[in-house]
Amino acid sequence: MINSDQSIPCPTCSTKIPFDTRQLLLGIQFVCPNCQSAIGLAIESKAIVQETMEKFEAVKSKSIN
Amino acid sequence: MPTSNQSFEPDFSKELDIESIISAPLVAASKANVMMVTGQTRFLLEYCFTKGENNTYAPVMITMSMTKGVIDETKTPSDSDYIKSVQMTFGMPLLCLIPINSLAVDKVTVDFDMEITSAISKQTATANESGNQVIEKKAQLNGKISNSSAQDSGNPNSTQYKSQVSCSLKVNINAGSLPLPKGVLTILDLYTKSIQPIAVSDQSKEQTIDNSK
Repeated sequence: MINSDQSIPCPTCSTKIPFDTRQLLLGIQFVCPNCQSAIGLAIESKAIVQETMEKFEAVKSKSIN
Repeated sequence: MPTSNQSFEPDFSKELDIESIISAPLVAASKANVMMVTGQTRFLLEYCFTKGENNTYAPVMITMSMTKGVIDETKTPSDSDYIKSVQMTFGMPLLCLIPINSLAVDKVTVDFDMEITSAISKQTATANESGNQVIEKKAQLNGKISNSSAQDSGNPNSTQYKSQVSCSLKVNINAGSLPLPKGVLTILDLYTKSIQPIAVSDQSKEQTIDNSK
């Protein structure tokens, strides 16, 4: 269940920046291929994203089992 | 669905109509699809949106950081701080970060051998609006799942005799990731586009200043 084309439009140049949420949670930044701007998850939002991802994984496994 | 306390033995000797044999696995696959989609939809509404007054939903926003190199025009290229690394933050809906997708049953193969035991023909006559009589003929096939293999070994009178007769109804289900529904894609597109900064024209800037006075 991986959404392969997850991307954020670059706030500077609108180029699509591909990303992976799990890697964002690890603190990894993703670089815009056009303008080299680096985007990452702000520390203050890490907890809510982590919690939501855990709940999402639980929903997925519940629906499969 | 049988539980662990109940015994379930399929009875292939009963006469069934062909529609039931084909539709039963398809209905089961459809129910499985609905279960998975409902789970994801509930999750999205519960965790990615906050319900406001008048049944309106607002997206839960998170903060993203962006680091960019900015040229300081007051400096010369030879200066060490000619390109400064500037960090800024922007808001983004939490929905955009969740790897939503549709895992669904996309292929169901029903494989069975059927022995037709009876065929019923129905004929109905109805008059349409213009007064013409429309005759509709329908055929219903009934049958039994036929034996797929039979293996006999040994003497039927001895205790070593083995007989294996089985009836076959094979259902192969293939699940895969389907493209996201158009509605979800539209919401995602709408929110991701809202990340873009809006250029404020000089005229509107002046209006804002006038209003603040």
